[in-house]
Amino acid sequence: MIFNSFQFIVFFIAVIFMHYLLPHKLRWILILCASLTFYAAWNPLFLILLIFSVSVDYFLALAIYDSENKRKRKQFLALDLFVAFGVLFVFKYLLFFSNMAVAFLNALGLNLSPPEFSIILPLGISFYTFQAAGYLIDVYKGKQEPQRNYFKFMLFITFFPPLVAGPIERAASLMPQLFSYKKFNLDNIIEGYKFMCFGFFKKVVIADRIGAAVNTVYGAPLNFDGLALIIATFLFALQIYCDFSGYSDIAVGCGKMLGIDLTQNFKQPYLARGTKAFWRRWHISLSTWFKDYLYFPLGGSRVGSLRHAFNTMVTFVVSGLWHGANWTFLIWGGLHGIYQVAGNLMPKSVKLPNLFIVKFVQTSATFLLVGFAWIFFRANSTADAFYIAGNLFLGHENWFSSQYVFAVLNSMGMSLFELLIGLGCILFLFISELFCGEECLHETLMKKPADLRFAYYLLVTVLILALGVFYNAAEFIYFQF
Amino acid sequence: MQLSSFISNFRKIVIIALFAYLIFQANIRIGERYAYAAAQNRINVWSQQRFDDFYNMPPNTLDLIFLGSSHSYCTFDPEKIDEVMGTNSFQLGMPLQHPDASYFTFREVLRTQSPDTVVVTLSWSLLQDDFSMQQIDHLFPVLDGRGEGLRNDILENMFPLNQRVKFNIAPIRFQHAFFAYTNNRLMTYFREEHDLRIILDFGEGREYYRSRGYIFASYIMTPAEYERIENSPPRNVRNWRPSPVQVNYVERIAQLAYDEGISLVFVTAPVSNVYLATYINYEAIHNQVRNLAERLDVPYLDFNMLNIDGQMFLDEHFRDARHLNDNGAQIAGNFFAAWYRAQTR
Repeated sequence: MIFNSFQFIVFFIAVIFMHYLLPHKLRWILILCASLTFYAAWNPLFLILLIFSVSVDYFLALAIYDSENKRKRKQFLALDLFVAFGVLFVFKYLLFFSNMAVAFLNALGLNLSPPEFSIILPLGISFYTFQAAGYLIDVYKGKQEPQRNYFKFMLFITFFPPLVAGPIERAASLMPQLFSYKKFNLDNIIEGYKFMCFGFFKKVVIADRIGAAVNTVYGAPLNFDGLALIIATFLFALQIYCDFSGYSDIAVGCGKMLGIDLTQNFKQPYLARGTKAFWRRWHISLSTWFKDYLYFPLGGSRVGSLRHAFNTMVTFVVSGLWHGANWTFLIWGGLHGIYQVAGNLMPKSVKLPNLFIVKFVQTSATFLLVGFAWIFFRANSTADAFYIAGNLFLGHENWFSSQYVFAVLNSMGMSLFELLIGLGCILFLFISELFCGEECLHETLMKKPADLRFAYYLLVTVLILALGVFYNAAEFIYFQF
Repeated sequence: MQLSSFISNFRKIVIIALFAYLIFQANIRIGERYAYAAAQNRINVWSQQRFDDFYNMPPNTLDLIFLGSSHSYCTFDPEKIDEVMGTNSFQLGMPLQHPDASYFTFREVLRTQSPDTVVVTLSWSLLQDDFSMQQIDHLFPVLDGRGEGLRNDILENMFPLNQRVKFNIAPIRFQHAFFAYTNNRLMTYFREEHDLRIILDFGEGREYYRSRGYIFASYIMTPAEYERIENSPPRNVRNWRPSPVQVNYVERIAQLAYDEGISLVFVTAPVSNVYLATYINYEAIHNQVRNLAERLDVPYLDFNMLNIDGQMFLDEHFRDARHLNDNGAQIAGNFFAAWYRAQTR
């Protein structure tokens, strides 16, 4: 049941109605049932694994909290992390590491055939594993009291809007909201609609539209010259942003309608001036998770410069690995690590003038660096990625021929008109975000006159209706992680 | 305090109602514009002609009917088939016609005709889909007030609930046609005003509706398309599975044919060898369809298995990588007639 499906809309409207009709004491039970139904709609078998993870986390969190012995508490935490990440490893990484081991042994002279098995990755496993792990670590550190009601804890992990693709929520923020009394408020419904509306715009109007061109070019890069490779990479940068932030917006909107504030996962990341700033604005809940639970425990920046660089690289490589068991993701994470380390080496005393042209160059350079790294994230294999990265300027001598450009634009798996529609909507999104700074778009709009807000959301809704991709609706890219 | 809260909420409800009303109006206006574009679609014009011709046939005069997608109307030319088989046949293949729509079209045929044989083309890419709205967008506009039974049958039986909702929202339903129509105009503009052309997948030649539902094409697959297909990443179809929905409709077609005493034949139309080569383990698809046909006791002809060495159909027999041109259709017709005679002997 994906957000951009008719089933979800009916499901969610029913949940909202029942939520506000039920007495307060029963509401969380309704949300729990709705969350489990939502998850089971994909594959009921996944639910067994989810309940297993929840049970292990629940009992070990209590064991950690109730234990007086520091060593035992550490052992309980280690056991939980071992089980949680062990499950993640089996489902997500076993095949990858088995292949690596076989390749390594073959290099040593053994003649082993690669393992022939496939494992279906349970939906959202990386997200709920990390959310639960964060909770356990907070309980261990004494920052969070454990939830003693098993089913309430289950709701914290399975709360359906962010379940399959984040934001990865912290217990301190989400837990109290789930069980507090919420009076029906029309403003919450309106606010929620605004988030959902913009999320759907990004997903069904932009991401799903331009995704066709990205799939065509990245599906067979050898068929295309540099110009098509560059355009497809540019489009992928926008596709993944619109797809993922669209999901987050819809999740936040759903939460708002239920009276729950979820973490804002994106803050106009492509307008960041520098890759460090980019990571403060992109997938914020994951970035802060890695910062709090990996980067800081490693020593963060309060160590020698070499160790600092090591900490940074480890954090980003692990972040790459989080996205998937593939060398392409490792390289992607590594590239971002290198960007950060290189950024740290820059002299901090140099102050650049606060001029538009400087900001423009910084933003453009950041976009180019991030875009280049996306090649490795999106490519189907490392061979494809290196081919694309090495051939971005293939055929550049023709770039000034209008006939050539016209032919390239028409060869990318979507019609020119669709491409223009996609680019037009990207421009609309860009202009909308340009006025926001680091603020959320909806916060910026709240400062504008009511008529303008009304017209804006009306326009966005009409654009969804007129230009959205509703047939062959694509799943969200981050579901695979 | 309560009064001000009431006024505030009332105001919000009025604004929400106004918002909803404007969306409703936009839906109507955009829907009209998109629907107009759908009516201009050239392929729909051919389909319209096909149905005009079909409904103009005197009742109970057709003895052989072809059903299926573009693979059917590019492979079987009724004129050729009639010439070699001595039949009176008609091609009712439609763009993207899946087995579900083939089943309802078959029922529509039986309202006015009593054929001896029905040939259904099964294409593996279509057998995979649970549902396709695009085929409906090609079919419904051309019915043009006729075939109400067919339309109602499809709407009532074939549409899942969510698709029925989409069907009733015109901007969603006709968007694809509008985009194709507008893109066509855009291409014409660039060609005529700026002399810009896309690298055509079609070579020199003609394509038009000839007669009895057949679309004539003399195009030959271009070297550019050949190269593009050749460089496409291969797809391993070892684990290919048809959609249970479409399998169910294939079974219903077989049951209907059995009930009416009609001979049924399943065919998989040929694709070019360069295209077929992009499928690793094509035999897996063939075996699944063959097993289905055997289970239903229906003769099955897979042109691709016959053409595995590329001797029957050469590249020059294809209008594009996946469809025969007229020269190819003549070969297919001759072979089919001989094969069918052997089957029925």
